[in-house]
Amino acid sequence: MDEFVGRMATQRHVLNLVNRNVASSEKLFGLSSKAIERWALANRLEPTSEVVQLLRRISSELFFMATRSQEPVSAEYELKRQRIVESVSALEESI
Amino acid sequence: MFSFDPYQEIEPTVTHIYAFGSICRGDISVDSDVDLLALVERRDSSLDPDKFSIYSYKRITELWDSGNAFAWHLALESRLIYSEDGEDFLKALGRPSKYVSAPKDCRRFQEILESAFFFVQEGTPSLVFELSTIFLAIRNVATCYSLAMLPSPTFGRDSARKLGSRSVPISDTIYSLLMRARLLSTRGLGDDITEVDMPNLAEELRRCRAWVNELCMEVERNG
Repeated sequence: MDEFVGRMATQRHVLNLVNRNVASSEKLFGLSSKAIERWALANRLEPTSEVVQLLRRISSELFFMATRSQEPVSAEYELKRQRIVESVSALEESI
Repeated sequence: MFSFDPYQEIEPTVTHIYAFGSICRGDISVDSDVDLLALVERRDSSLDPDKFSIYSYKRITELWDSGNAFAWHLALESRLIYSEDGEDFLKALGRPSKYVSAPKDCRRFQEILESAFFFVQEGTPSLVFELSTIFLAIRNVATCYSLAMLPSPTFGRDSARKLGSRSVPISDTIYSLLMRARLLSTRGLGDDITEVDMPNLAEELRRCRAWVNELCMEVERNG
């Protein structure tokens, strides 16, 4: 799959996971740090909460892959991809 | 639970910073942000990925050589604001190679639009994200189309409405809704979108899809 399309699919998966399973007064609108920050504030979640930290981690890895590490053959890129998979699994367990 | 430190290297490596996008066009509005590009040799923990698009010299040179749309954006709409060596790295690269990937790029964003449309119709729990994605797709199709087909490409947020007779045929109301969704999704700004006339939205998005398909076919005919 095209890397960009793959990142969009990962974002969609994570957002749907949260928006289907976490009771909240406002939905999570995106995986940008600002959107996560807004969601946490709106739903009175501490920055240290497990879900918020996992979302921040996934966001950071996705944005890293979007710009700096657009070198799909690099070991670092593969490591990032693996970290995202692990973080999404942890999120699924967490919520 | 886990230790999160994605930027473990600490030695600063930034040697060039550029502004690009709306600030270089003078296209400023109250919700504009400042697009910044950092060129680096290797990881730099002092750079916030939320504030910078961060590229290695190797990668940016590859984009130039392949005639990538982002390379053209930078070539036409960026300004050097910091250079450690006093040189303008991007200017020294000259013009990017000819932009030839418009058919592929447009079809890719069409695929993204189609996915988002599908999930909107399915009753997604993440409507704002899907509307934001639709906005991204139509903007990028318009940008790629303009780069391939028009004498003056348009890179702005409103590129889909700056194609003259080929501009996106949707109402101001739906266009504003999509833009609001984009701001919510990317920057967490604006009021939540709670009231949506779904039948009207679906009808307008069908027109949007037809428009995207027409642009894709035009760029394919153009080669």
